[in-house]
Amino acid sequence: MKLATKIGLIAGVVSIYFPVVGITERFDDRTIIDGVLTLGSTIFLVIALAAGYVVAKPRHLPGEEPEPPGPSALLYGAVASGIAGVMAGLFVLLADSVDLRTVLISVTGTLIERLSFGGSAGSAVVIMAVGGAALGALGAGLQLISQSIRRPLVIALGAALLISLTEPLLNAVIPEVLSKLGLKDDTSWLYTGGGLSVTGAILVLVLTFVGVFAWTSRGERVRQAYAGRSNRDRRLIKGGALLLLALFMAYLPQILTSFLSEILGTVGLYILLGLGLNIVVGYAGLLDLGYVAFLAVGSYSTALFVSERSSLGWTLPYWQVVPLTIVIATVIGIMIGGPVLRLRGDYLAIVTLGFGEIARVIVQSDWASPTLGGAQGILGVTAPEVFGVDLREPRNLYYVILISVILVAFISWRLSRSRVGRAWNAMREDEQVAEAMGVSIIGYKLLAFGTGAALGSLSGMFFAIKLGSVFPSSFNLLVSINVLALIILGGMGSIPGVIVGAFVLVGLPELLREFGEFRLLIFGIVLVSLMLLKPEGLIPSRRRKMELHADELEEEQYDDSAGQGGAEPVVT
Amino acid sequence: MSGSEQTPKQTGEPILKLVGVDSYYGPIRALEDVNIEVYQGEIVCLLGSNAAGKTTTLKTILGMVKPRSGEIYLRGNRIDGKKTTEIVAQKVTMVPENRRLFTRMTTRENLEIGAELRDDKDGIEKDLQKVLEIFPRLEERINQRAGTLSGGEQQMLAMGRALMARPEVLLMDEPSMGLAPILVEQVFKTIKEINDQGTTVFLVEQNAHMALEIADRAYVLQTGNIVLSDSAEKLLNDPKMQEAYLGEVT
Ligand SMILES: Nc1ncnc2c1ncn2[C@@H]1O[C@H](COP(=O)(O)OP(=O)(O)OP(=O)(O)O)[C@@H](O)[C@H]1O
Ligand SMILES: [Mg+2]
Repeated sequence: MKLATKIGLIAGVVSIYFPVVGITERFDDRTIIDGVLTLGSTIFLVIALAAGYVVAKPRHLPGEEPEPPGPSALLYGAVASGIAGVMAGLFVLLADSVDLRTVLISVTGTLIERLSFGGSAGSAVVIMAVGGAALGALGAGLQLISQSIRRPLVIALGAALLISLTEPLLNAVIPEVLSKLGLKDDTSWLYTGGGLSVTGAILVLVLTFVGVFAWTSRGERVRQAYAGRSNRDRRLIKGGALLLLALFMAYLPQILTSFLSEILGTVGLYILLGLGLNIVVGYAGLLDLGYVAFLAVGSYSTALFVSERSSLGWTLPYWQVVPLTIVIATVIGIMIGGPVLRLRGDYLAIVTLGFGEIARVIVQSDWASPTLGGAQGILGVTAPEVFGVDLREPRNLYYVILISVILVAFISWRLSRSRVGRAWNAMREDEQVAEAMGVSIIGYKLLAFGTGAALGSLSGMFFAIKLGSVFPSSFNLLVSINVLALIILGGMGSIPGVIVGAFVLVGLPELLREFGEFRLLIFGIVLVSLMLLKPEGLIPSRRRKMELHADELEEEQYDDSAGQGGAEPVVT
Repeated sequence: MSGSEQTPKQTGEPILKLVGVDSYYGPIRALEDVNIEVYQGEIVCLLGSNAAGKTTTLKTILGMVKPRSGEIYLRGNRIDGKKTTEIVAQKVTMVPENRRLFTRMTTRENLEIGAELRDDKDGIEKDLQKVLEIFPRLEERINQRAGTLSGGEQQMLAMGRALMARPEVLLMDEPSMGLAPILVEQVFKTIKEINDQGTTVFLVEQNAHMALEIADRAYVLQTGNIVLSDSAEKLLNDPKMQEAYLGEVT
């Protein structure tokens, strides 16, 4: 009961917060289901449902069997969300009688009117309290039904919300696909009024529910069948899936709007950067906060040798510029790596942070500006033609980036399973012992810095080509932080993690543009919730999982050895 | 130091020799004028209570702590001042205190890291099989993360990892720490077997009784100084040892 009160109060505060900062009013223009739900009211629904759901969640001490929630959970859920409703209602009452606009500019008359559902402010308290309690009980009820139904239901609701939210994106793409398939490019069956239509909502809910339900009830068998295959078969299946994914990615620009293709290219660049930094941070465990320096080196080196307007006065063909840039970056990477070999963890982070800033300061300095162009940067980076393909065309550049990503991901993957990857792992875990086993710490650290630098400069090269020019202001600390964040978000040391992380971290803010000033707020909420729900990252490498979910994995491993037919109980 | 008796294995040049070694951690002196000789094929034991400087001695040999003065010889060549990897490459390997496995790597990966300095793929694979023969328990857990092994299995893996380097001199830091008596016995038996196959063992222990049973000779370290050295047999019966180290253990 105490918990119910606590959660209720939190939910209440949250549900007052949204209208106060103006989100509710603004989002009321955004349709979720046409004529039924707006985004503004959806937020309240979700809060009330979630409060009830959380309160009713069975709690248990580690090692104990969780007690299945009884009908009393319904009551607690209702209480929690009821409290939230009363709080929100009282707020409306307050706002109605006292003019709050002087302090809280978003609390307008229309907002109050809306929140009172057209009635008096007094009736709002009742409606919100009763409605909240009902929703809370409903949320709690989710805990009571069996997992096999609850999961598909929750996922279906989430999918409907997601599909509705991505309407501007999908509604631009789907007609294209339909007409390519020779169908009528009419999407009114799915989308109307900027959100899902009623039929669309029902369609999505039912399809997702059935799909997920089928997967949860049959999926286990599929997974077992997969695990039962020979190693070679499994590799073939995996390879086939990856190939399909690559083909899909290659096809995407054909159907996407140019704005979306543009974002896709940026995501690709960040994937490249992420893969590079992942080697330094994820594999070798060297926390490098100055990674942007290599992006800068790659960009500037490219611009310097390619642009006719660069200070050099002569240009080199691309086939010479590419290796030259990579060599320069690698050398600089090793040079930066040298002085910080003895540093670890936080110290290393601070020093590399300094290096990143130094790189920018040098470029902007009077001393370097005759060569590097100072704040004006270098203009006129002409894109190359490769085998007659003009890379100035964004779509073509996208393909080159896509191929590079595939190549670099493959190299990363091979590295992680090689002797070098093993040595990096050992070094990351225990430098001293690794050295005592003969792992050359200096050598492997420099190798990590060098490889990371080379890959970073590759993205830098694309960056320069994409923009057609380079400016020092593009290479700020935020880039380093973003790349590190996408690695952490995806899961340290995990290649698919880097890719998904880049999509979420770089792609999501772009897609959220329609929410204007609330974009970063939503983005922040998404990031924080993701990290709370999956601290090890979205697609963690097995090794990292160990760290954060050691208990679960131990069980899994016990099963592993059982599968291999040798599970005798451990004596010690 | 008491006059020690020659044992049969003390012939020719010592394979490992410390002469007047002083080691410091900043201003703190951890080793003072330490003289130790280890001959080919011996098991030599270094005994001492907590903080005596036993681990420091091993670290000094491996170059992880640089001696401030004194000399260290391996097969007659000076190795003090050399890099750890160079010393390890000369077939000296350590089983560190507290095992210090790479806990997130599998048993197999831990063993493979042990062979980091070797290039003979076939030889490595053969030695891997040999290690798994010595410790059959590890074979069952070959793909399990080292961190999830039991304490006893971890000690076996730590020893196996060291053996993968095919060492000629094996430095072991308290291999019996934290193990049940029956496992301690097994570990010491294995050390003896490893030694019988020709590996010289320099063993750091607090479990003096068990260690002296398998050792040829032993040194006793006290706050950085060697205070006693003799054949294991003599020390086992030495009244001074009896009261200081052996009484409480047995
Ligand atoms: N890295 C270090 N920095 C400073 N002092 C250290 C360091 N390592 C060890 N010492 C000190 O040196 C002395 C000897 O330590 P050492 O680890 O060699 O002891 P030990 O004989 O191995 O003890 P134990 O049996 O407890 O492992 C101790 O007083 C210890 O505090
Ligand atoms: Mg010690």
